[in-house]
Amino acid sequence: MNYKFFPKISFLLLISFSFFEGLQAQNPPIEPSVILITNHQQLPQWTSPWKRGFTSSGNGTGFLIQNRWILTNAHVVSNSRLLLLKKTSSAEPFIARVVAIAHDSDLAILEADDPSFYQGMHPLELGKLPELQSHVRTYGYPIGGTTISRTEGVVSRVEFGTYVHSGVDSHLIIQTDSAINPGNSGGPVIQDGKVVGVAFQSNPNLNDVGYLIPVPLVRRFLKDMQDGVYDGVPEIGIQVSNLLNRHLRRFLKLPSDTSGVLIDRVLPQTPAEGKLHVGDVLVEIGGVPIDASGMVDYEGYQVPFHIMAEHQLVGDLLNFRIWRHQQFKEVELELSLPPFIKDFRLSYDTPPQYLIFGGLIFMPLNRNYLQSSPPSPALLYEHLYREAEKPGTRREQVLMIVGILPSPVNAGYTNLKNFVLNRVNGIPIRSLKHLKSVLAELKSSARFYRFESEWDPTLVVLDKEAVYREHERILERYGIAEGEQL
Amino acid sequence: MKFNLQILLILFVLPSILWGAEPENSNSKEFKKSVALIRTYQQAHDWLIPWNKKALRQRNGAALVLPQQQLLTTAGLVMNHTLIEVRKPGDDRPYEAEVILADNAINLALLHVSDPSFWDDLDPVEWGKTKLGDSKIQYWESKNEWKSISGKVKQLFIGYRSQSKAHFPVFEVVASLKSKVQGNPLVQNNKITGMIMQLRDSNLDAFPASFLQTFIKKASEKPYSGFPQRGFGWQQITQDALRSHLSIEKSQTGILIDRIFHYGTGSDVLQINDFLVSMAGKKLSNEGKIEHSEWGNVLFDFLFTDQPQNFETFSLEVIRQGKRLSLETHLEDFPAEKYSVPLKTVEHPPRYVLRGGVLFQELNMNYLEIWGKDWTSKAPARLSIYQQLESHLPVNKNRRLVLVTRVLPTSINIGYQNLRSLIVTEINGRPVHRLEDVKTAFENPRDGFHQVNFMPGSNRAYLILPDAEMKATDQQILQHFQIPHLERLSF
Repeated sequence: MNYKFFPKISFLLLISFSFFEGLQAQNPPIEPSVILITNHQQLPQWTSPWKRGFTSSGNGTGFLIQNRWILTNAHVVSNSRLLLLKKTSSAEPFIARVVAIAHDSDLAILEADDPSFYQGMHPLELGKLPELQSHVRTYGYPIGGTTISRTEGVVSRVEFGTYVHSGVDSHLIIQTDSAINPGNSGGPVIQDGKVVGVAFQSNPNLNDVGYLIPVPLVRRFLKDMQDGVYDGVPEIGIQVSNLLNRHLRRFLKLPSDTSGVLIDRVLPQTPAEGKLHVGDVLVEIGGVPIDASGMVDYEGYQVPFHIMAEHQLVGDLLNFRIWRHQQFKEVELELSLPPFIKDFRLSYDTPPQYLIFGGLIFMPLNRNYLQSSPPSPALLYEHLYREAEKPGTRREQVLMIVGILPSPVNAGYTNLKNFVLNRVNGIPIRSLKHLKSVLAELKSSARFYRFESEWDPTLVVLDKEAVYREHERILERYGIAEGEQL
Repeated sequence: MKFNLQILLILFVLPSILWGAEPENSNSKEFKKSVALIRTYQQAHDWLIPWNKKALRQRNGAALVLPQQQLLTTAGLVMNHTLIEVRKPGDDRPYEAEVILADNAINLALLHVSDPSFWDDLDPVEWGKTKLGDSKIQYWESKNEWKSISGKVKQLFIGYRSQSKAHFPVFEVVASLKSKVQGNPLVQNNKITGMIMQLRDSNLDAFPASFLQTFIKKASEKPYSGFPQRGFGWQQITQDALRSHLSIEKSQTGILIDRIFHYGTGSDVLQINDFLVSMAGKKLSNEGKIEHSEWGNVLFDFLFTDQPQNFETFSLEVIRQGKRLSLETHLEDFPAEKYSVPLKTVEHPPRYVLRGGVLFQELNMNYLEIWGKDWTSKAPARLSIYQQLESHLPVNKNRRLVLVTRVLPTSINIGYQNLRSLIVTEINGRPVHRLEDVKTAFENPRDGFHQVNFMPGSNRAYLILPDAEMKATDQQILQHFQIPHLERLSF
């Protein structure tokens, strides 16, 4: 779990709950459809990638929607080894499996294997975006008790926010003052008997603030997974800055009745590449005008223009009106997912890739590794800035020697850590798989393996015969079952 | 009782007699008149608001009295001074001192007091030779309390001052002392053989007398050239495979050159993967040490600081691609300001240029330390990356990274006010490598506008300022924010 909540019980909330109860008396009860999810998970160890940690368990919430599907958060069911469901009406645990998972939107669909699980339950209906200041009620199984909990609050904001489960994605988010605690995650937030959001995260720096995933994003998730494969939220692939400065607008000769944002960067391998240019002013998206700070009107809320892309599917077309060379122009993009985006998101459910060779531990750089170890400047540069400063130089994977398993074959290098690998015997290395094939090719011709980095002057040289002689001994000595996981 | 008292008397008297019988171990001579007390009032520059200075603080220490009416102390004690007061034994009157020379790289400074009466009745230092073994540290605990404690000079090592990246010889002195005694004398055999630099952990670091004398001699030559430093990075070869790969015999000792700096001794002749086997005729061990007749094994950097002259010819012997070569280089220093991201300076106020409320500064260690001692994790990653990888990234000599550090809010920069610490690449189509380039570029607007471009990947590609409005606004900004000048490029 990535979230911290404030264990706080408010007397005032209990009072307002009684008031709210009367407003919803005519709707069918929600509680039978709200499920306690227990996830027995096993987390990978990114600094010792061959190790599998002990299992731990955590509780979250889910609720029945259409097609026997149980909707919850992705972070509730990530890295799972066993998922158990429990209804309010029964003590019996039911085994569940993940039908679809969207780490970019922190949503997941589960299904119980046993049809009897669904007896006495009815699917909850999805509603719409709630209005500001309207009352909502959150259902779930937060810490502090074992029975279902209901808390109430008011919608205080609808805006864009970071979804911390992936670490990088920003989507529409609803802020409420409803108490959301560990265990609430994945629970339904109800208004007028319909689901208006999924409780998912809190902010440890603020009191009594909870965040919900709004229904439009849930609907997008369900639509995306209809074909059995979840593709993900597509990207446009641009970086923009505001046009709040009137002198900047004058410089661009933008008509006085026109606003928009300035394109500062077009990312490679994205839909925008070749279609949108640095210096273009983005005036409209999907027919909706963009204001000078990059906001559009979305169902009465002012939110960043990206909202117009985030409800689309991969392959959908999206129209832009731009101001280029003092003329308006229409541009159509086919939305897609850039291949590099996976390295920027936190990774779940897949074990770390690694290769052990001569006691050197090679791994590709990703966000999980950066978060699990104090990042070195070289790694940060490779991860965040290389492609921006030197377009086209980003490799398929940035490889590192993350550490050494001390052995006579690598004596003298035992302090090596976070060594960015660029070349082996002068051959540029593109990925972990490429490294493996290069090492295999050199086996017949080279006497030494020479590992070089653009960042670290240490010349790492291993004797080939010693590497192969010591390999099994190193694995045995350090209790490593597999020397690689590619 | 009477009998017992006699025994006690004998016990007390006997050690004193024995002590007196070994005059070479006696450090009993007092050097009160060779030590002056210093109080400095310091006010550092504010690198966040470059036209401001920080709060005033006070520091106390000591200085050794030298011939020719000079005082020797640590540079740290007098840095950022607004006033230096010195007092001498038995005289409460403060005299004002001025700095003749401060070398912050090695932490030494020379002072002068212009009032001739200060020098009356003071005894200039007579230097002795530093030795391992017993010593005394003499110091003023307060202005009336002179103290002397025992210590042992344990070893000579090569000290490293991270803020200047300078290497210099230091003695480690084991002594039970918690007072800050910087600038006070180390006494051996009734001679001053060193000066205390700092309290480190539970021990003291002391400058050897020979190094102090070299500094004093160098200081007398104009211009002062500083101490040479190495111009290369190195690593040990502990791997037989690496040794074989480089065709270095197992019996051959030396170190592997793995980086060449832009400046410093050897940077002009050495190459990466050279195996350095000797310097100035002294063989190098596999740990980078030379055999010194007096001090045993010390790091080779000792050879640089032991030389009285810069630019002297200096010989290096290397094995390059299997061939033994003799190289000639010269001793060269590596001052803080020559780094692409200059090291911390206390000598100059911050340089800046302010146009249209947009504040331009150069990236250096002083700026990074705005984020405190943990700047490596707290400063913007992009800036700390450049500092930490300074010697790895392809930066050119004499180039700086120019930043927009802050924007003072005015009507013409609406929309830019939240910009912080962005690296500038061009202004009005002109490349920007120094603050002087900023000033020149702003003298050449294009079509009535100034365009400031930022490094790709910044959160804005460029900003625009209108020339006419900017010129009209700049004077208002000075008044409104009470800033003395629109720029400070020289001191």
